[in-house]
Amino acid sequence: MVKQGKYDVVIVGAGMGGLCSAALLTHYGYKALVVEKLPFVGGRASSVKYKGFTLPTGALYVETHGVVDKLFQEVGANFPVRDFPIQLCFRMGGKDYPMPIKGGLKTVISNFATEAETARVMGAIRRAFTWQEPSGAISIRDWFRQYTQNDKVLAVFRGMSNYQCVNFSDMPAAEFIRQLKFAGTAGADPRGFLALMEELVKVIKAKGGDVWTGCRVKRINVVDEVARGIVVDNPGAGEMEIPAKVVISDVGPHGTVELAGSQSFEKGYLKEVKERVRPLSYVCLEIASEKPLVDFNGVMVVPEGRRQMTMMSTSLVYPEYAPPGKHLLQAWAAPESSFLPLDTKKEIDLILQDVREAIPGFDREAEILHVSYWQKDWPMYRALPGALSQKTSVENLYNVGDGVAPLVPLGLPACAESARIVVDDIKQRVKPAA
Amino acid sequence: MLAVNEDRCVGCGLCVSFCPREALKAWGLCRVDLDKCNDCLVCLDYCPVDALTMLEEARK
Repeated sequence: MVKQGKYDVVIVGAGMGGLCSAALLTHYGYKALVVEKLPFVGGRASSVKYKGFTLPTGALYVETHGVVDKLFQEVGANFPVRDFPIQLCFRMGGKDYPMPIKGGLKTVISNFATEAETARVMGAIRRAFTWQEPSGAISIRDWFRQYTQNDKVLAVFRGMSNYQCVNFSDMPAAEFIRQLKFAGTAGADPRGFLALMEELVKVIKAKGGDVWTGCRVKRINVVDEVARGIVVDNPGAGEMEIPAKVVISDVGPHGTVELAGSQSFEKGYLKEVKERVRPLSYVCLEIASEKPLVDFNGVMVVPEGRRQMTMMSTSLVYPEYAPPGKHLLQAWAAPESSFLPLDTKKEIDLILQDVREAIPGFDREAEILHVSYWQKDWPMYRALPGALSQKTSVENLYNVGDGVAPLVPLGLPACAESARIVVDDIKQRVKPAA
Repeated sequence: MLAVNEDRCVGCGLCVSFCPREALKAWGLCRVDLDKCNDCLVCLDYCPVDALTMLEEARK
């Protein structure tokens, strides 16, 4: 077998966590290699071209002025992300209720609730913000039900939960409140997420690192409970062993166990992975039209349907995502359960009924371009934040990405922060080869 | 002949975007239009969950 021995760290998977890890490591003088199975980088934080449209492979937006752009700045990568207006509007009972930037929640709720009921709900949120986070042992739906039985008010929060891409009855109360606290600015790269991820590849390569796409990792080598490198199946070159002092996996904790072999891990760790790392499902419809189907420059929340749904006329903010003369609407919805296997046919039927009801003239003006599901091995999130630590029970084998998300904003910031935690630990423990 | 492993397919639709002959549809799980598919195998590289395989058996 060919042996390639010039790397301090090898990284399995070129998703957001893997690329952020490599960008930080190369920036701090480590020789790093990223190996990616797919022919493109970014994983579920990438984009594809389809019929002239730019469609996401996963991430729909990235938080700005937070951990992600700080990391890009630190490693010297461009971050040409254009913010979209964080303006929410609730479409309920055929009427639109815009949410003002200041005092927004209270204003929206008071459309449907008495003054006393509004005060009770807002008081509970204030206590959760300033006194103590609610327990994670109950869902945010059950938490709100302690303060109101008003279906319209509950629907508003069901919609907010969809904005976090988790089903209202599956979202732990603590996590919902934490994410609500984090709420800030967000945007996307007008060129698509693939171009943003390639900005990281540029800095990795400029600092002596390598990124191999279309190359499959066959296993992670573990000897005496210590990670020693990986074996890849390099197209054209056959199997190749790549020794390294450290291995970082960005394929999710379940995938890491599969690659290294369950016999390599402690029993307690395997139990934690099995019980805590539960992938979340989600659905997105990409819809094309001649005119914008939702004439609102922000996020339209449709919370009362068969499914909780959020829509955005993406091409109003990013005309680059649609070919000339066309518009792109994205409708995102959480399925019946975020954690149970999807009945894909049932979900799409119900979501389509909701979309038809929410958009007058839908059948006349709209063309469904693409349907994307995320579930199982290609989920919306590999786990909720705080499920598992980044270190595995195998020495010098770490996980990064949304399966080991720390308690920061969901999605890309969580992936970036997991990479920072891992690289900070490596910097303490392992010196780069001279 | 291209086949979809329905236990593995998640319905992400990535294969649909990359099929040069519009032979794949994902409205739910991935479906192959065997009249359009010419076995170019591009989709195999782009499937993130290894749900697509080439079966040896001849086309009917």
